[in-house]
Amino acid sequence: MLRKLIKYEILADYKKYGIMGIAVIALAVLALISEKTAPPYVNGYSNFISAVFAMSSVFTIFSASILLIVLSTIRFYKSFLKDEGYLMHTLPVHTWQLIASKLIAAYIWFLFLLIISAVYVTILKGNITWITDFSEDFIDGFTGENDYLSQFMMSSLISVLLTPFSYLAHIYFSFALGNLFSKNKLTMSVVMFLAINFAERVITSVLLSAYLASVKDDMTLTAMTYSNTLLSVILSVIYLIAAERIFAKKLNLE
Amino acid sequence: MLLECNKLCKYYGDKTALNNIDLQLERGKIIGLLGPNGSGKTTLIKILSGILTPSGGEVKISDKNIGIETKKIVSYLPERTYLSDWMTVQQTLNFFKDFYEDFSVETALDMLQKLDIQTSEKLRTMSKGTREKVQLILVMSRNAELYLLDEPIGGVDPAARDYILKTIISNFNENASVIISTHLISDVENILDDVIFLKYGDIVLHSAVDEIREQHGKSVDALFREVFAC
Amino acid sequence: MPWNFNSNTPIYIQIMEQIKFSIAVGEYKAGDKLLSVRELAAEAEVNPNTMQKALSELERGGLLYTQRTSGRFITSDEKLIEQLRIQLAKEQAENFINKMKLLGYSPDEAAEFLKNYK
Repeated sequence: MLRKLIKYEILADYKKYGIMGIAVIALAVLALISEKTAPPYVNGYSNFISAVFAMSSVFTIFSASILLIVLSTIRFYKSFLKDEGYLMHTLPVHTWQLIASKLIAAYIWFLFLLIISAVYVTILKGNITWITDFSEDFIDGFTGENDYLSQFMMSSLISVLLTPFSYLAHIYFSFALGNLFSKNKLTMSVVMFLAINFAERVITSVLLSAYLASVKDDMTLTAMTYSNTLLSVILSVIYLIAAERIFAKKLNLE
Repeated sequence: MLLECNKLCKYYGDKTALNNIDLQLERGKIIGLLGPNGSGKTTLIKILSGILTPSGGEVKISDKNIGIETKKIVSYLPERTYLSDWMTVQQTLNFFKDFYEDFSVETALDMLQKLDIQTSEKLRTMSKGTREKVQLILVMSRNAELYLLDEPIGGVDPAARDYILKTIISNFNENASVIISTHLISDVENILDDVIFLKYGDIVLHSAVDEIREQHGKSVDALFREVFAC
Repeated sequence: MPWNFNSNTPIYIQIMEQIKFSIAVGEYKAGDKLLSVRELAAEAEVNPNTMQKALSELERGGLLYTQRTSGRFITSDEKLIEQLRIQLAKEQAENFINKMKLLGYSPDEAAEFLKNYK
């Protein structure tokens, strides 16, 4: 059942992500063309364009991630709590399967966006060697003499990969809490989102400062990233379980 | 007993939608759930389909608590369009086939063909009326034990109404029961075995249509107007 | 056949009356096969249980009979159909006399009226 649910999640949104992917790649091709075709005497202009597109690559990947979160949130809201929810919640499937299918679909799109980003960079660089360079650097980072760097890269990588997970867990939990109110469910979901955010920051800073105090000056940036990530994973898992329990036991579609 | 409710209640904040409902329904019946707007019809149906959680009391469908097992045997038609509009008719058939073991593609195709609805058509491009018919066809093509039809004939033209009623009659079997909620009583009266009158969350009458006609010498519609006279 | 129901008497009784009438006027012939309960119910837009009840009642009266494998038929007993015709005619006559009575005609005057009525 989970596989079927994921299939329909993908089917529901593949056009949006497809358009997004095509747009990103078109942008890269456009950048490449304008760079190659710029007449030599407007060197400054060409440089300017390259700079803009180089900046835009960061921006594109960043906005793609934002879009992933936004699209996943809309998808969750529409298919879980609006009209389509009448269909999804009357299917003979478990609530955890519904939630898991959305989370897994979001990760599939995340992977898709990473690939698109890689294609984007490849087109802009005009070659594929950056990947080997990058991965060499990366592997060096892990295996190299510099323990500090490898640790830091590893922790950053994990934290990046877990970002959609913690965001979505946070959002699902907010919707679940909003659903408990008898009216203004959507507004209350937003309020809950902000409240959770606030509570999370308080908890994180309290715990971190307590930790910092206990380890004195041994605290490294890596350790901080790790503990932050760990904390966020623990919280996310709690959010997901709580959201699943609420939707399974206290569902009230308007 | 197909359906049993004991002291079932539902509150929205301090508003009472269902007030200690006791209800037993057998198999093989078409039951009209009648009442003015806000009487709790939709609330009851939504509880039975599992998308509302009761505030108190007990519900059993075929001796099972509401959950995955009852969703397998309950076929629910909400009053709104719940199909994703990016789907084609064929995709909705696949969807139902994927998730409901009791769904018959042949039955659905047969009904769609009679209405001249192409399976390649996208829901997005359909009129609201056609989309509602597709939904009804999907719901009635399941070989379920309890059909919950929430206002299936609200706002459709007389020809569509006849089609819908005929579809319900010819697809229902003696192992199953159909609950139809509506406020258009005279339109459905002839196809009902039993009626349930809901008033402000209470069942004020639960009786066979024949009995009402024999005892009161009047139609359910006329009796309804009396019971709910303002 | 076209079905028409009023809203005051139980549907199954009205179905029985309408089928009886169809048999009496020869719309259904002796020995004709009936549609299935489900088909008849869909045609009349009534509950299949109601149709079933009406047909069972008619069967009890002998006007219909069921052959286990091939379905339900109108009786082949012409005498029974003749009786039905007379019974329905009696009902009509009674109805007529009663209405005429209300209009101030005695039964004899009503009969006279009918004789002269073209």
